[in-house]
Amino acid sequence: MSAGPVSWEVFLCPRRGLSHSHVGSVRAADVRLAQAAARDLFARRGRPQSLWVVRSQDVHAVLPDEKDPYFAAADGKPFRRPGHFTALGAVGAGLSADADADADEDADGSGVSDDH
Amino acid sequence: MTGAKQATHDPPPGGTTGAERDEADLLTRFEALLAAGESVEPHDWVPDGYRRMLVRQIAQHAHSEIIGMQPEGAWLTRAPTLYRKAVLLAKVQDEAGHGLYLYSAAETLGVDRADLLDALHRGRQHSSAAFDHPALTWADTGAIAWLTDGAAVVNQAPLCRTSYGPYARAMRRVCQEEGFHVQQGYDQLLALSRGTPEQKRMAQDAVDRWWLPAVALMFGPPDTGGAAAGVGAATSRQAMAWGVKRHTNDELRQRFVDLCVPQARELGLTLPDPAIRWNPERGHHDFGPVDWACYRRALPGDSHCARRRIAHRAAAHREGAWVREAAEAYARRSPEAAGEPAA
Repeated sequence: MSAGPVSWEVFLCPRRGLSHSHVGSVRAADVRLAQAAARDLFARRGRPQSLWVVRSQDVHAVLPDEKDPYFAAADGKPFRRPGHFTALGAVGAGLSADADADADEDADGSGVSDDH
Repeated sequence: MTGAKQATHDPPPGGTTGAERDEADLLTRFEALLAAGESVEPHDWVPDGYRRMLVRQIAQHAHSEIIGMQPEGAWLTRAPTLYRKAVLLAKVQDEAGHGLYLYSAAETLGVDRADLLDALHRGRQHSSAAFDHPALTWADTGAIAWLTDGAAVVNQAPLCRTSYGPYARAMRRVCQEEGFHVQQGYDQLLALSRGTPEQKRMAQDAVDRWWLPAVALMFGPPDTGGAAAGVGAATSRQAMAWGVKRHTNDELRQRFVDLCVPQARELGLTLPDPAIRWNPERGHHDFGPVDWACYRRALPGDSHCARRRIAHRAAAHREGAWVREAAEAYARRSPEAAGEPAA
């Protein structure tokens, strides 16, 4: 078979205040047909705030085979989560000295500790 | 993600033993995903049998959605009121949409919808034989929506948790919409049942003709109960081991009968099976055995109505070719509209 119409990924923002989410894909020859197909397929009920179509081939994914080296930097850093620290108000008044010391390590070098 | 590239798994260098070890490793990972109840996604390695089973099931399902548009679609121009026409149009449009969700899901398994449609047109793949019956009166559109869509909901609700992610996500959308279909079919039959004696007779006649196709063909052959179950049982066991199916055909069929009996009573209509009665010991309704031999003779798709459905579908595809070609030609002339970056 010939290639046929190309594939488009469809993202829908259902209403104000929400971000766009991937809802599926359509086949269409061009942008306007892709938008029309996406409207007919994913917006038959309710009026969405906004609809995006993106050519599937323009989505650049990081494959799971690369996951270990690629996302490994997030491992072993429990101090990036608030639950790692002494709960606020748990030690007399204010923050514990330990929690401050942990957070100050700032292992990613971003200069931001996201818990305080 | 239809068009995203599939991850390829080249065997490591070092001959077959390495490749075999690699495959055993991949199989262990696949089985661990299933055991953990995690969904299998397009980039995951899967055994060939799993891929084949899913392609076959999703394609058959997609084909059934678009062929299922025909019996009801034939009544669009003859609906009794503008309101009923608008409702039926919305319902038939949903069926087209279900087909599209499912063809997209199938494409994540490395097949192309054009090839699947070609296989349907050439008779190498089939849609559910439930739709290979004529819709003789307006009441048929109500009976189809109440019974075949009702059976579809029972069948498909557990598929929202099927092990293959894209299929499960498609089914969640489908199920939301099928709920509306069952309601509107019930509503339409209720209106007829409460209408003139003629209208009530028409509703009863439609239910009489669509009950067995729903009970038998929407759930497939028996797959429990020893020798009688035959090949169906082995396929069902494998499908359940892979988390593709969650229940046997017979369990789902029973669930459907149990749901329909009280609804039929509310409708004031009779289900055409004198054997239906409540069995307090089982906690289910008993119902008459399905005459499978009669359906096997009609399969696969050699009945007159089945041939007409496929011929109609193939003709619509052929007659739409110029529209597809025009859209492609336009896209080639304006690469920006086709989503190509501007030169």
